[in-house]
Amino acid sequence: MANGRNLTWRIGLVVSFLAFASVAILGRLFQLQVLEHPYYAAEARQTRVHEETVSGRRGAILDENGYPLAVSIDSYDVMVETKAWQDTGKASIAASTIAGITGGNAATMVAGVQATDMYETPVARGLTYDQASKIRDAAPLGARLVEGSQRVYPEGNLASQLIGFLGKDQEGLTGLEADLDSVLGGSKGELVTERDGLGNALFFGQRNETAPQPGSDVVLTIDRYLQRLAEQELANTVKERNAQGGSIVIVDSRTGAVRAMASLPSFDLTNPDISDNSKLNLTRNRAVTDQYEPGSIFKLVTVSAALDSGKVTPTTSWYDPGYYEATDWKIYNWDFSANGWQTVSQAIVKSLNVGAAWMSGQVGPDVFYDYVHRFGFGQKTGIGLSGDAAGQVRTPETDPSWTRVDLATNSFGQGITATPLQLAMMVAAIANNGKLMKPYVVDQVVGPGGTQKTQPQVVRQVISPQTARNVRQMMGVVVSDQLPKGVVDISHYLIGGKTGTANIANGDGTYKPDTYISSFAGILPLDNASLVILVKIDEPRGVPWGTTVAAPAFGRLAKAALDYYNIAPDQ
Amino acid sequence: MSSGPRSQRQTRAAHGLHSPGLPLLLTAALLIVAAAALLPLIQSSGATTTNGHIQQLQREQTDWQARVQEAEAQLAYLSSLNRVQQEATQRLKMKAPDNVTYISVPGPTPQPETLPNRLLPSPTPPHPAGESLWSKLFGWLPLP
Repeated sequence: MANGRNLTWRIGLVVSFLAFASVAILGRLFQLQVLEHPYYAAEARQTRVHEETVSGRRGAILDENGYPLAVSIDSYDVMVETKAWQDTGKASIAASTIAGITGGNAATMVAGVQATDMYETPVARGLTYDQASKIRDAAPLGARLVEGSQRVYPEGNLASQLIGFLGKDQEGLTGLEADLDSVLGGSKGELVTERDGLGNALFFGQRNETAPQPGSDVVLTIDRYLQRLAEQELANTVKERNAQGGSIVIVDSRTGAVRAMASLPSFDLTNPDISDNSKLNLTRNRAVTDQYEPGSIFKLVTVSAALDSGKVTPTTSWYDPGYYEATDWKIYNWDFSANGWQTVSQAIVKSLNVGAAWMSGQVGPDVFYDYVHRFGFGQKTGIGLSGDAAGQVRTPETDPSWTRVDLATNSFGQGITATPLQLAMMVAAIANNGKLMKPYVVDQVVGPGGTQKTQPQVVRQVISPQTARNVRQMMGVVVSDQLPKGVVDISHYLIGGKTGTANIANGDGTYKPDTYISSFAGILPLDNASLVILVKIDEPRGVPWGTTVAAPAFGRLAKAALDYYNIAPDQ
Repeated sequence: MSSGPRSQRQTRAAHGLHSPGLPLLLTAALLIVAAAALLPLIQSSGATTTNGHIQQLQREQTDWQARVQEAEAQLAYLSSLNRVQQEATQRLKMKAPDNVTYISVPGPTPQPETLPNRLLPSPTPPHPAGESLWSKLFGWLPLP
């Protein structure tokens, strides 16, 4: 009996132990499977399921005729699993295979992989599809291909500041690439795949893909031929005149479409370097962002205001004693000449500062600044590019320090600032019978959902068609009679233009000595205008006058543009 | 009393006699169960095979897209202004004219030559207005 009781006790102990262990295991299982289920499920999913963000193909940037200026192509990187290349013999064989296809150095690849403690290392980047296919077929040890994207520029550095460039994450950093990033970039998708312990996708495993939306193609108003002409002409003039830089803007005066927009200094679009601020500054689209005192080109605004307000006519006479008195200041002509009795037309044709100041006095500040604003100065143009500067216009209402001297100096483009684009649009308004158009560079957006086309927009009727015609006639005389022979060598066409030579402000109320900005703005053809060209050259050495620096560049561009567009001769 | 159903079964059992349909039924049931068990297997096998095909086709599509993109880029490089100028001046020995002669001819100005919008998608062709399925089905009915 005693033995039986002892046995029962021991069995009871074992059973109790087993029961306790079972309860403990069940409890632990309950904890893992029920209480902590979400955590472990997520952990397991993370190990097994691979999620990656997939980008759609970035849209292309095309010129107005459909020629690509920037397009994206697939590119491939070869990643190597570091552990797989620890055996130098095997690694060398694999590296030789890769190097044979990519043209790299096998020894450098092996050394690079063995030197790192990262899980994976890239040994070749930016491969083409053919190279990637060969590597995929060769299947070198430990290597896998990672698909990416690469932006290529078939026209090289053409319109580099306008187009801008991408960062490594394929997002726009400057120019249109940044301004239209959401349009060009499309929307990102997601790819979920089940992978094995080595990270390879299971052939029959789970695979869910939310397809990315490809970006839209953007068709610009820029014509690559005119853009190239403008860039070449600007580069030649800057070099010839030993200048600091410059800008050229070509606008379709009837619509406001920008056909070319070039600025110097510029940068290498195919290999951008933004390592410091000075290099970053080169990416600025100066035709839109940089404001300067326009000089005599602004006399077109003054005469437009004077004619359109009815204060003068083209034949109204005034007396030029060689100076104009504004309060305690005397305004002189650019050549310090005194011309006696002159007409309003002669004041513009001869570019007389005294005449412009006299006209501003005739119309008064209220009317004058009203026209200045109506021409779009002091406001952003609305072209849709970042950095679109408004320029500075001081008026009696906005600046208590304004005096009558400001009115006089503003009348010939001093003490007032504008961008090259604003000035081109002002001249375009005169060419377009007084209608100021809103400038634009994006003609169409072609996306999966359809095509959106930009419609030309009239900002306002600034001056009457008759006033515009009178001003154009004056501009025609500038080109035909005032410019030296051969400067604008275009026979059979009527061309109009206006020169400008402006001082450069220091920012402290003074001007830089002996440094100027030379410019020329012209209309072609004069009576049936289709194009307006503005040429601005910064700080040319030697003779600074717009007549000798900027006008010849305008002439060559105008001639080429007339030929290119097959515009019929006037005479 | 002994001729009841229970006694008959007992009698057949005693004589070693069984119903001839029972094994057949059991076999058939077994086969049906086996077939039913195979059905999801066949279904899932079909689904995975289709999945495999889809993945393969997607890979092929990606490959072709990459080829098309590269071809487009190559075409763009070949039609770039730099190359056009290079070919014109170096291979074809062309040069800009020294003098341009304008000849006035009566008649309207020719339209500027339009260049091909080579990379723009062509307009979607209109859907062919064929006979609808419903029309075909009920075409024989004397409906207005």
